[in-house]
Parts: sequence; structure tokens; C-alpha cells
Amino acid sequence: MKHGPLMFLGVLAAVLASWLVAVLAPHFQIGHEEPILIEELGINYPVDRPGEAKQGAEVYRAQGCQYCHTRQVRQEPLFADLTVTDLGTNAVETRRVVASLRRDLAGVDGRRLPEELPRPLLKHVSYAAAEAALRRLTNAGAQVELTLANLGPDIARGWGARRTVARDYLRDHPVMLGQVRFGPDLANLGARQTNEMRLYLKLYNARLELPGSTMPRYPYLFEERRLRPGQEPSPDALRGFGFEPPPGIEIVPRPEARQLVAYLLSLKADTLFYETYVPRPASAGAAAVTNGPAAAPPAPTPPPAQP
Amino acid sequence: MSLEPRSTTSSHPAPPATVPDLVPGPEPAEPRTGTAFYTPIWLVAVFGAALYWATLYVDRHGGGFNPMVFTPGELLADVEARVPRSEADVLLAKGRQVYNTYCSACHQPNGRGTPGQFPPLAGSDWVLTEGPNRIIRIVLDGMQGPITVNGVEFNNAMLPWREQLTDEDIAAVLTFIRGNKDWGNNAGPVSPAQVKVIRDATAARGTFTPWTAAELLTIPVKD
Amino acid sequence: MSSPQSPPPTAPAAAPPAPRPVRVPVEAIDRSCRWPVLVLVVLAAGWLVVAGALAVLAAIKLHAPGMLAQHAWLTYGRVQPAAWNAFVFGFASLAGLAMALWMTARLSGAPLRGGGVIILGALVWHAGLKIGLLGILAGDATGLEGLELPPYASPLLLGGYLLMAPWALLTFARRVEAEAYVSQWHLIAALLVFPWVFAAAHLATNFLPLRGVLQAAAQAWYLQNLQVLWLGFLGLAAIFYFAPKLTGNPVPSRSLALFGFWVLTIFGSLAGQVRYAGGPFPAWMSSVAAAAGVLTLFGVYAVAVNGARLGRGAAGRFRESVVLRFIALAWLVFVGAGALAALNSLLGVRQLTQFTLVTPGLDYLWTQGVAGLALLGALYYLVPRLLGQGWPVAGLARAHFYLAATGILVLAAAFLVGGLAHGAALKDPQLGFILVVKRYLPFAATGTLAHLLWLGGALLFVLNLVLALVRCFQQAARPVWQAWWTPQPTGPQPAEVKP
Repeated sequence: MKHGPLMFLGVLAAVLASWLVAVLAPHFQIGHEEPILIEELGINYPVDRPGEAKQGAEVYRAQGCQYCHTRQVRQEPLFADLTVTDLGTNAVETRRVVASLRRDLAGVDGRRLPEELPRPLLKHVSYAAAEAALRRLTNAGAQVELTLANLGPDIARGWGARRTVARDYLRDHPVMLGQVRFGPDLANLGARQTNEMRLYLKLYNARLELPGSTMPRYPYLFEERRLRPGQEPSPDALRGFGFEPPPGIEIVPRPEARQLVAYLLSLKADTLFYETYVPRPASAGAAAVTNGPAAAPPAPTPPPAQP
Repeated sequence: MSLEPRSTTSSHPAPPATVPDLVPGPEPAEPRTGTAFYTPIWLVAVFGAALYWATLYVDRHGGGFNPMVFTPGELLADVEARVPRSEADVLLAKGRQVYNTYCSACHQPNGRGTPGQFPPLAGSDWVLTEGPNRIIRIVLDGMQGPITVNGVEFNNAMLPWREQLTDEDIAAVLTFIRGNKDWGNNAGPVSPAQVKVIRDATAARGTFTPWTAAELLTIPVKD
Repeated sequence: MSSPQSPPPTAPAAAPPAPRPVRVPVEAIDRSCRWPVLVLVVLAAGWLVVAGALAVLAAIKLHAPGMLAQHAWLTYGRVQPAAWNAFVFGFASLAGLAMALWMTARLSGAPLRGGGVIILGALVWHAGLKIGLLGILAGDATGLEGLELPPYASPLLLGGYLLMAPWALLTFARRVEAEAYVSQWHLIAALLVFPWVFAAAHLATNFLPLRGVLQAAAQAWYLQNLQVLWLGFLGLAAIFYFAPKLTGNPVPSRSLALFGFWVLTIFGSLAGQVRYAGGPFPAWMSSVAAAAGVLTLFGVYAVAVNGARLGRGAAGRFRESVVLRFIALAWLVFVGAGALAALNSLLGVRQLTQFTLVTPGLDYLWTQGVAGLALLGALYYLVPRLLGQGWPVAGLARAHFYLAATGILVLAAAFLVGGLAHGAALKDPQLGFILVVKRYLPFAATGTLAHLLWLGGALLFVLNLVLALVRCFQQAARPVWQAWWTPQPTGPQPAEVKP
């Protein structure tokens, strides 16, 4: 390497290329996304947080919650199974479709098919393929059942109804995705935990509710006040869920705790839009719009149609 | 000068000069590179293969570089398949495809037809009927002879599509034609089941027996 | 400071009349480095202990959350980033700069210039880091891992850097031999990349923040470049310098080293998004990074082959040389961590390892394992050359090696194995989260032991350094002291007395 300048330029080019690919290209792709109007709900998603929750984001950041909690829900490529439950009235047509979907079934004697119902037709195929097959079969009059094979452990745990996408974080700064799950994911905390008092108690001492929890205590977010004899504790003092403050003392959340809880309650990423739709848990062919039982009856009477 | 006596040196007699690391001693020569071997050619070959693999890998997992695809391993089609749509929407999308393939040559992409030769579909009184009974038949078995569309007389022949198009295709293209808002059309969708009923009912007419306008007018537009 | 080579050659070096400048004697080069590099080393040593203590505290807090919970500034979410920043920007970066300045001068055969400015730069950096760390503990961290330094501190670091690093590049430009040595490639690349990456990432996340998740994309890019092209390359520079020097063998294949260098530069730089694989980013970002991550394996292989050949037939040297042991272990960790990182970038593997202890485990291997061990080895070598005398207690250095090595290996084993257990538990939705905690907790707790061992080693290093400096000071001061103490008429004493 006699050419010092060449090396300089090479290294600069390499790092510039990685910056272009890893940051700038995505910036041109999704850097100008705007909140999306969801007509059914009448909102612009993501919804701007109320002021107290915005301040809570600063508390979340300052306490470093993101060092133990992620805020991203993963989803694996979606697969589906397809099962025929009823061949419908036009078994010939259905068998034709079945035969085109499953070459290996083409030779099976069609008359036996109904006896083997419900018959698993496709297993672990991509959702798009299963959906297309479902459409063809229902159009042929059959009834089929589409089951999702895998939504992934995150969704199975109830950490969200769907994966998180870039649009969910449009209003966040900084974006605290988190990298390690020492604690559970919080992307949808506000959707599954709506009780303020439980969150306060969790922050005050997580081991009250879960003895084995490793979550730090945040006693400095609360204020201990001495009660004069006979004085009632203030309405927002910690109580309930098996927690009783020592006699003569009340524990009241400070403003930071209030803001943090407001923020936590605002953590929701469950609104559905184009890139996030998750199919209905199990959609049956019978429920499809076109070829339900309502449309089927006319079929068995072929002749009278010709006037 | 005041060197630590028990620093690494004494015990080992074997190497010519002991390694002076924790004490400054006679400085070893600055390191050099040798040319014991060059980058092995097999390594370069494997590296090339790995580069090729990398492109395949990105192709398989990259979602076609589409910003709407977030789960590695999926494609836009997978995302689109999950978007809930009414059955008519699906037919509409498919119908556009069918129309562009089979119909637009005569009836034109804008649905206006060709004056004197091919009747228009946009705003046509034959298309925008309450029910699709007549036009399903036209598409299935074709049309021949004089026909008056929107008060203008045409006299030409239309091919039958019974063999080429499935029930779903015909339902789709008719849904597209009847509901095409760009053309100003706004009639209800046609379902594959409706096509199927008529296909079965008219199967007895035999192939290649085009309809005439007079014949069709006897058929109610709606069941 | 009376060096043993008292006759000063006073190599001018500034005005070489010949077409090819002459290689300046090693002693003169070391003397030119002495003050700036020593200042950097002392600061780095201080940060090493601070970082170690904070890391121990954070590790304890991970499994004993009740400890010291009433102090906001000691909560896990602040101590953990403080420890990371203290290690990376306090120890690794300052020690790396010290090594880079000294090594560039040595390899270029030209004395280091800019001593005073370098010292100023070191102090500015040091002050910036101190302010930044206090800011983090006070709750001013920016919230993005690796970019925590608050906006009022990060420009100071960059400013300090710009006062220090250019002198290495200037020295490199005045090198005697046109052909640069392997370590020089890595050093120059590292020195070029760091300010750019640091500035770009801080700009993109704090000063002119990008929209939404793009901040996290910039952060992942930054962390990857910081780990591979800054810390990793500093480590590789040390490995490629000291291993041949102390074994007496040349680097076997320059061509292979060059191949590895470019592979690591190009693909190592690109693999950052692996950190957020499958996250809320368009899928192509994750898959491009995954492919690039796998390709870095070729760079790691090149380093592995060259290193293994270097060590051939030098078993005796390993037993003798503490520096070589540090370097060899750093090489081993580089090869292991590099291979694991390449494997870990595959999306299928990532589904298991993401969000688990594997992520911090690999980070620790890059920062403490590769850069930390290699730079400690480098400091053990260069400090005696600067002071002109050996380490006061060689046994401390040897003990430090064993403590650091055990610490790193324990940490790697605990976090990688624990990460797999953690990942398997997370993958099973039937397992309540408290049971997931139970699965990973023993491994996380083992991390405390590892950090304690590392801290113990760091204390030994600092003790040794302090002893060396005190002794040096004594020796330098003794003649002056004696001259002042003894009655005037006797005149100057014979210079020094052996201890």
C-alpha cells in the first residue's frame, strides 16, 4: 500500500457507502412519512401524546428504562394452513380447484373427498398463497378454514396484536427501541395495563406484586408524607393491591411519577393500517362475502334460468 | 537503571534475545510483513460465491426493497394479502387485469369503444342495467348483428369467451366495467356465482352461438 | 526524567536534506512521544478504574435491584450507560489514541510533533467526558444506547479529538518508508472513521434528529462502526504490531492482511442493522446488514490465519512476555467474537438471540475483549519505553493478565450461554415472564464476577502505573532535591543513586 491517498479515499468511500445504505437510503424511503389518517377511528395515527405523557417520555429516558425494556414487537413471515370443511354444491368445480392446488391429489378419486372432511389441503404455505387458494375455493362454492400457523412468540405473549412498524415511532424523539429484554416489551403496555395504581406500585416496588422481579425500585419518584392523627390520606396516595403504607404515613407520587405513568399508559401500537394488518385469527370460508350459503341455493336448479 | 530484576528475562535461555516487554531493553526490530503466501485463490473464489449468496439472501429476505414490507422473508404481496378488502374490491382489481388483456383492444382502455365499430361501455345503457343477466350472456357466448347502444346503432360481431374465461374472470371484468368510476359507471358488482348459474343454464345452447340483441332483450336484466 | 540513554542525539528530523528522510532513532521517537502519550495513558488508566467500578455496580444492580435504590443517579438505567461510556470513551479511546500516536511515530520513523496541542486535546476530551458522564448520571443521557453523551458534552470530545488525531496523520505523512505497515492501515482507517462516525451519528440523533426509527438506524450504524472500525481496528493495529515484534516473525502474508482489512472495512461498516434485525425497519435493511455481517467472516478468517501463523514456534515467548499474552488473547477474542458476530447476523439465528444477553455479550467482547485486552498489552509495552524504565512490579502485570483474561472468558461464557437460555425462554410464550427472568438471572449474576475480576486487574494496573510514576518522579527529583538539601559548597552530587 504505497498509495496513502488511495487508502484514505478507499476507507472514506467504504464508510460513506455504508452511511448511504444504512441511513440515507432509508431516509429517502421513509424519512418523510406523515401520520396516517385512519377514517374509521377519526384519528391521525400515531396520535400525538398529551402534554403530561410527553413529559413522561423524558422521565422514561432519564431513568434509562430502555436499558431493560424493548419497545418493538416482532413477527415472523406469516404462514397459514388451509382446511376444506365442505365441498359445497359444485363438487366437480371444487375438485378441479383442489387438483390445481395440490397436484398430488389430482388422481384421487373425487367421490371420496367429502367423506374425509375436514381435509387439510395446504400446510405452512405463505399467507398470500393461502389467501389466494381460499378465494378460489370459496368462489367454487366450497367452505374452507384458514388458520394462521405462526404469529410469533411476541404476539402469543400478548405483547401486541401486530408487529411494530416505522410509522409507530413517528412522533418519538429519541426513539427508544431497546435492545435487551431484561423486562417485558412495553410497545403495548398501555393497551394491556390500564390501571394507574398498579403502575405506580410497580414503580414504587415491583416486588410487591411479583416477588422475583428484578425491576429496580424508584422510591425517589414518590414522596413520603407524615399524616397528622386523624388526617385522611390524599386520594392519589398509594394503596390497594395488597399494599398498605406504614401507619401514619402516606406515599404520594411526585410529578415525575405521574408523567411517567401517563406516558406508559399512552404506549399503544395496536392501530391497524396498510403495512400492519394481521388477518382475523381464523377466517372461515363460510363467512366470506360472496359464496356463503345465501348464494349457494340457486345453483342446484339449472334449467329454469333459460326463459 | 533500576530495572526490576525478576522481570520476565532470566529463566529462559533458549531464544537468542529474551523478549523485553515490561522493561525497556534492546528494542526489537519494527515489525515487517512477509510474503509467505498470497491470498489463496480458493479464498477469493469462496468469497465470490459468498457475494453471490449474499445477493440471493437479500433477494429472499429483503421484501423487494419495498418500504412497506417490514418482516424479513415477506413480499409486498404477503402484506397486501392481509389487507382486508370487500370481495368487490378484489374482483375490481382482477377485472382491470382481465379487461386490459381481452377487452381493451376493441372497447378501448377508456371504455368509449370505437364509433361506428365497437359500442362504448362507459355510460352504456346495456352495461348499467339493474342486473347483469344480459351482459353475462354476451361475454359468455358473444354477440352478433345490429344493436342499439345509447341510441346509436352498431352492427358488428363480438367473440365468445366461454372457453377462455372462468366464472371468476367474467365476474371480475364485469364488476370492473359496471363499477368503473373513472368512466362514470356506478353499477353493482357481479359475483362468480351469478356467472356460473348462467353458464350452466346456457350450456345447452352449444358453443359458438352468439346472441342477438333481439334475443337478449327478451331476458330480464335481473332474476 | 533521566533516561538511560542520556546522550541526546537531538535528531533534527525537521530538515532532512536527502531525498529520502532518515529513520530517526527509536529513543528520540519515544522521547518525542513521552509527555503527550503519558498524559493520555494516565487519563485512560483513571477511566479504566472508573469504568470498572461503574460496571460492577451496574452488574450488581441487575440481580439485586434493591441495592442503593433510593439514589436516582445510581439507578441501573444511568449507571449502565455511564460504565459503557467511561470504558469506550475514557479508557479504550484515550488508550487507543495514545497507542496510535506512539505507534504511528514508531512505524513512520519520524518523531511525533504537536505535543502541547495533544495534551490540550486530551484534557478537553477528558473534561468533556467528565461533564458528559455527570450528565448521564444526572439523567441527561440522550436515550440512545451508545450515543448517551448529552449534547453539551459530545462536541467537547470531538474538539479534543481534532486536537489530537491529526498529529498522527501528519506524522504518518512524514513517514520514512512509502509502504505503510499493516498496523498503519488499521490505525489510519480508525483515526479517519471515528470523528466522522461520531459526528454524523450525534448530528442525526440529537442535533438535527432524523425522523422516527431512522434515529435508531443511525445509532445502529454508529455502534457497528465504533465497535469494528474504531475499537476493533485499534485492537488489530496492536495485534499486528506487537505479535510480530515480540515473536520475531514477520506477518506471514501481506496480501491476506490486505484482503482482510478491506473486507472488514467495507462489510463490517455495513452490518450495523443486525442489532435491530426484524425490528420496525423495512425488511431490506435487516437483510442487507445480515448478508454483510456474514461476509465479515472472510476478514476474520484472514486475521485468524495470519495470527495463527505468527504464533507458530513462539510458545516460549508467550510464557515470557505478558504483553504477548494480552495480544494473543485479544487476537483469540477477535477471531471468536468475529465468527460469532457473523453467525449471529443471520436472521434465523437472530430470532433466537435478539433481545437476549447475547447482544451485550458480543458488545463486551468487542469493547473489552478485543480493544481492552489489546490496548492493555500495548500500554504495558509502551509505558516503560516512555519512562525509560521498567514496570516496578512485573508480578502485578502478570496477575492483571490472569484477572482480565478470566474476567473476559467468564463474561463471554456467561452471556453467550445465558443468552441462548434467555432466547429459548423468550421464544416460549407459555413461559410467564417471571420464569424468563429466572432463566437468565444466574448468568447475568455471573457477569458481576467477571466485572469484579476485570476491576481487580484494572486496580493492579493503576497501582503499577502509580508506582512507576512515583519512582520516576523520585529519581528525577532526587538530584534536584539533594542539590537543594546538601550544603551549598559541596557542589553537585554524582547524579543518581541506585535504589
